[in-house]
Amino acid sequence: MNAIRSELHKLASLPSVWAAIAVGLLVAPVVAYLSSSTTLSAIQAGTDSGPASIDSGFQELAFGVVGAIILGVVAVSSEYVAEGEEATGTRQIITSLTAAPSRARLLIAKAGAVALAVASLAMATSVITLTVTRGLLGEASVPLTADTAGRVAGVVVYWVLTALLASGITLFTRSGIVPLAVLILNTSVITVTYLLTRVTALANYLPDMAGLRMFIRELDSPVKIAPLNGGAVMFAWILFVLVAGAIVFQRRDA
Amino acid sequence: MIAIEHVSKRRGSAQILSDVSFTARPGRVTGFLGPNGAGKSSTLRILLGLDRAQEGTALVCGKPFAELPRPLMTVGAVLDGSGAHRSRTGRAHLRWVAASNGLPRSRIDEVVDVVGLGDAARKRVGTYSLGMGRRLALAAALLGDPDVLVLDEPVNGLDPEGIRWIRTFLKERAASGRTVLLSSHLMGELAETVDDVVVINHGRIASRGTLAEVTGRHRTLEDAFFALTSGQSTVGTEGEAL
Amino acid sequence: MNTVGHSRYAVRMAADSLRAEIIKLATLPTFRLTVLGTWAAAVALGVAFASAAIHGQTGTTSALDVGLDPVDQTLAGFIILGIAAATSEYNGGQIRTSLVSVPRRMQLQASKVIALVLVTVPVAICDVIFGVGAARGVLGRFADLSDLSRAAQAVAGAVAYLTLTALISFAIATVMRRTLPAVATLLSYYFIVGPVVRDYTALSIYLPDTAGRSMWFPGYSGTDGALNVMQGSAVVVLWTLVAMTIAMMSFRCRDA
Repeated sequence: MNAIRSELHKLASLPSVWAAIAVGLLVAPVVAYLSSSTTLSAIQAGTDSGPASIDSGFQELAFGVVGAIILGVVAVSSEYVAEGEEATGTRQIITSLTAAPSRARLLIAKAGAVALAVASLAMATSVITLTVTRGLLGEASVPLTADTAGRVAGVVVYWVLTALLASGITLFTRSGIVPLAVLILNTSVITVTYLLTRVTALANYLPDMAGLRMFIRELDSPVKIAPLNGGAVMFAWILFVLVAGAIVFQRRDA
Repeated sequence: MIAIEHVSKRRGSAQILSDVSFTARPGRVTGFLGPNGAGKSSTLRILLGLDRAQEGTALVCGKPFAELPRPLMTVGAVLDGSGAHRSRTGRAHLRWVAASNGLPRSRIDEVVDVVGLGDAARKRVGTYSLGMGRRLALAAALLGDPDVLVLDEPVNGLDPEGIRWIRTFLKERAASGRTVLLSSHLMGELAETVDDVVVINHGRIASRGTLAEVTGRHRTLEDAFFALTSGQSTVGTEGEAL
Repeated sequence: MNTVGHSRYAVRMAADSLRAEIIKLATLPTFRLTVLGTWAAAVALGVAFASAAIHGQTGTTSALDVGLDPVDQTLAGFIILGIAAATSEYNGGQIRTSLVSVPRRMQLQASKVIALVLVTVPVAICDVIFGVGAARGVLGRFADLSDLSRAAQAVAGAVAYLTLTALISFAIATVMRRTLPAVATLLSYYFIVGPVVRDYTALSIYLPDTAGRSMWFPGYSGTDGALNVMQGSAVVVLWTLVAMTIAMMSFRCRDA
């Protein structure tokens, strides 16, 4: 517990983490505002008969995950960053390893801290985004059901797993550039993984494609995966990456 | 020849340097002495054009540093660390530095030999020890065979062999008519190396003169230094006290 | 020295600092790896898009149109190149070595920019050609490489767009000085914020990423409200100049 708290302190001390939180809080609501306004004007103009898509609000939350990605990457890369100045061996990783009883514990604490931080972020952003969407669309929005709560849980799980995926990849690369580039590109409007689903049905079982099933209902793909199954597939992927990363981390010189 | 006159610098509300003036003459090793935070690095950075002073001038061979056409042929500077990107090899670093001032590539082998970097020059700078990094910085400074050498805490990180080597090296350079200015807070070592001393404290010059003048009637330079900077001079010095 | 001698000397000094900057880029492992990774991605994506085209997933089987699609994604590589060129100076204290070697900051910055252009253009040309070539290879007998002048214009437009984006990234990274924030900001803009805003605001045609599309994206210019090639290019060039000016001013005035 103490270890997780100290990892949370470390996160809180990084300006990049706060920037990531700001990004996570802003992107989804702002995009939701734009898209809902457009839908609203279309409905009012009569060009769209409404009701709004079942995915309104949730599609935007899929974009907002970029904040979680940045947080996940920075949580690990900050240990290794020696940018800005001098001396050869004063990276934070050395202090961290000296302070922690074992490398495995350090990693578990870090993963725990990232998960906690991102889960809170995801909850907050989901509430804000859905409020914005429903507020704007009013009667045109899809009625709230028990499924909605389940979908919000899906968003939270998706964000947490994506952040952990980002951390896991950074364990291998140490520098944050590659994981940031790959994962941000994969969050864009047309993602590489989505394109791959056009080429082979197997691509639907990639972590993000499977994970989206937890809260997106109208995914443009012939392959149907139930929400829980999608979550399980994504979880398996992330577990694999984290364990592999942990093994590499364990064996490597600091 | 280095001439610093009435240099003052403010950063925000802090007065970092106040009316700093001194010269470093050719043929002599000049030591710039002061505790951490006294303003030694700030002065050197202003001399080398890295920072701007609000008042005063800092001239090298009569010109401001930025106006020297091929700076590395006049001034070699050894500042913190290695001054090199960690992913590059030592040789790659020296290659670009040499190219930037039109210096021939043969100089690279020569300076690597002089500083004793050897095979390590082919390895990435990130793998260097502190001492090797300093040697690389010195090698880069020597590429143009400059008349003036400016060094900020040169013995920082060197082993005893390295310290003795650099002391001899700097004295030889001065003896051949060149100017050497080095800053340090290690008084014992400085006293072995320098001919002239400039003492700085809290951004002001406390004393300047030859080593003998500044040490005055104190037993060692260190005693003189503490006397000068604490303001309680029980034994007089012959250097200019300001 | 007389004036001719002076100017000849000045030219030689400029050439020296330019050569040093090119050596810096060529010997930076991150730079080299990014170039190779970008080329590899161009080939892989060219193959992927072409496969999708054969299965009828894309609207066209023109090798040019399909082969240019990877430019959208490989743009990321050029953004990283521009950032790396700027932020690598702040590693290990190299900026001080650079400023002592070339104390005139304008000269140093100008050398960096020219060096970046000289290195990026060939990388971009290869990037586009590899993508189109890979698509052509996969499409085989389906390929439709008819209009050569249109092809040349599209390739030139893509190369220009990739290079200008690298310059914009360089400028922004010069101000930010730290690699990860610059990467996160620029990639988030070009891949998430930009494309999303594009769908919702008409004004987005004046943003660098959307305006840039008209320079190379097949059939983009001339669609409703979009700028044509000349207008789009002018907008992107303008953004590049603005970013560069801000970067120059920042580099000039700040402490090293």
